[in-house]
Amino acid sequence: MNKTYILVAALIAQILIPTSLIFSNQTILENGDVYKFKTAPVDPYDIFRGRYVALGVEDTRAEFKNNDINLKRGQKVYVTITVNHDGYAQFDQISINKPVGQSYVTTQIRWPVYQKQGFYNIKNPFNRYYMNENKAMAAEMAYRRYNNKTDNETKDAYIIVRVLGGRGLIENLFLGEEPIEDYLRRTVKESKI
Amino acid sequence: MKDKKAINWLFSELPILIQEGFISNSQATQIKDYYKAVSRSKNRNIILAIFSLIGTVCIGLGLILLFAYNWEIFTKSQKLIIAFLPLVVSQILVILGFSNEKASVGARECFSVFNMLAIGGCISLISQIYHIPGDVETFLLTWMLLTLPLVYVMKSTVTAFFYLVGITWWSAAAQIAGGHSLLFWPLVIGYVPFYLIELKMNPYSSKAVWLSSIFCLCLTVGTGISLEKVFPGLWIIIYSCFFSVTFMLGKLYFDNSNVAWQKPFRNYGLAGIAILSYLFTFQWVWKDIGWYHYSIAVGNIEIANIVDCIIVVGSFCLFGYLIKLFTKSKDYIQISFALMPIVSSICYILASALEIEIFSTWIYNFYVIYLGIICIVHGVRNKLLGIVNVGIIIIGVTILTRFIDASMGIMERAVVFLIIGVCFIAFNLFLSKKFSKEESHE
Repeated sequence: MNKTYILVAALIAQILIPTSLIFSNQTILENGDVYKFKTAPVDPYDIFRGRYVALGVEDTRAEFKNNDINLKRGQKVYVTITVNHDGYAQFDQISINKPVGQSYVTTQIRWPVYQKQGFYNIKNPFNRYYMNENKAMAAEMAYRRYNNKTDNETKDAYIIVRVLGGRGLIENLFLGEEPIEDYLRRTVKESKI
Repeated sequence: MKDKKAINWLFSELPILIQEGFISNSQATQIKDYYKAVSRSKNRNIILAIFSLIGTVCIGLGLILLFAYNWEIFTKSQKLIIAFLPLVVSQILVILGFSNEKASVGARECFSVFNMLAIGGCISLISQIYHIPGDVETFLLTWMLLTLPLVYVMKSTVTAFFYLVGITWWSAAAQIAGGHSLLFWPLVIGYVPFYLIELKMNPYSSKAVWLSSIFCLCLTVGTGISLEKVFPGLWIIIYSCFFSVTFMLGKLYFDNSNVAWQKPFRNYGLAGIAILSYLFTFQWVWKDIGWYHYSIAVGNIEIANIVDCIIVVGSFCLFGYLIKLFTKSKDYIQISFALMPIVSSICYILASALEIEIFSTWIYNFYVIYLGIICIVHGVRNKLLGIVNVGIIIIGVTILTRFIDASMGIMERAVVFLIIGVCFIAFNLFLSKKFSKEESHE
């Protein structure tokens, strides 16, 4: 009889946990604040998570004004987000308590730990964009071209992110003004012509 | 294995029973044929279980690849349904396997493993659909916590194996991410009741031996990963205690079989003692260790330091308790091997206090040579060629390694080799006098 209860509880938990993941992420996508982050260059294959484009954000440093505390590598912190004059979002202030009245993401202090002028390196919370395995390589190359401004590329690569309650989700990856999937479809069509 | 032993015993008794006139030749043949069929059917069940397991895993992987190929054409809702599909199917199979008392071992194992893989697959797919940032340690921890109940409910050995591998992997991922892996210990404890139940049923069954071996391996790797390493060199004492305790547990409580592979604790412990002892004969092990090199690195977690100390004290107490029982056996060879933590602790204290590694290195070299000598003496006395060979190998490898070890000065090595050579000859003279006295008494 005890094993029956354990089994029922286990099966319910197996459904509940993924379902709660879906609900929490869907809430972020529907109600989260929208931010545009300019990307920086970085297709490692993860056997459990599938193929993805590894993303970097242009500046992953943020300021911590409290000089009395030394933050440690791996320490959980909250980082507020602001928008610059170009319309791109950037990481602003680090806080060890949850900020109130501002959008923020939860992340960690990264190695190397800068303590110069009160700035720290933080772990980029938007580091993966999953794609079809066959297209991830082409996507990675196109993404690098845009970030390195090769082939006379002047437009930016950026990600659209939704932020809510300290969590951020990538909505889309743009190359220029095109979502990456559309860009790849167009370039494949053009190469066939 | 118990049945196989009993069957073999019965077969060996049949000629005697025929001779005594209790049974006829034809009856003996009938008995043999009957028990051969029983043993064959058991082997067949194991083969069927293994094949069904491999088949299930391959089908699961094939389905995953099929969906992955067509992934782009699905909408988000369809993708989410596909993510849940294997999970729901595997849950139905688990319920069927659990509620059907006649379900075979193979079926239970398959359904359990399928469910375990489906859990991981579902969470992975959802992470992929929503581009959730890479967080391997959270994923593994969630997956393993959801897997653990399956181990108990389905009594699945393979799931238990994956669970141990999963929590060891988690501990590595957690440390690499800059955190700590203290949760490794409660996660291991979660596995222990299932393991003890299997041990109680039959500690010499292939299932119990398999679980014991994996358990030892998991503890070896997980201990090293979860240590906070604030006191350099503490691992020397911890691992010495671990292998000695494993060896003593094997000899004290799991030594009733005549078959070597059915004694995983003894074998693992002895192998660990041998390998570690050899490693400790190198100078670099004793360099820069001890309390003067206490260091708090960036990212160090204080509670993990306390846990390190608890592990050292706890493992030494366990060693102390077992060595008291072990010394009652008066088997001086096995006691000598089991005393490794004492030698390690003395060397650790010396290297820490004096901050010179040479004394600890040579103490350990002499300890290892002593182990080799007692093996040879015991082997010769009791005409056990295998033990003699082990002793020769121990001494030979140690001497050869020291001879080519460039970290020690030539003069140092020359002096020590001369001392060792003189000791061997003196010991040889002593032994030959002793043996001739014994022969004259006989």
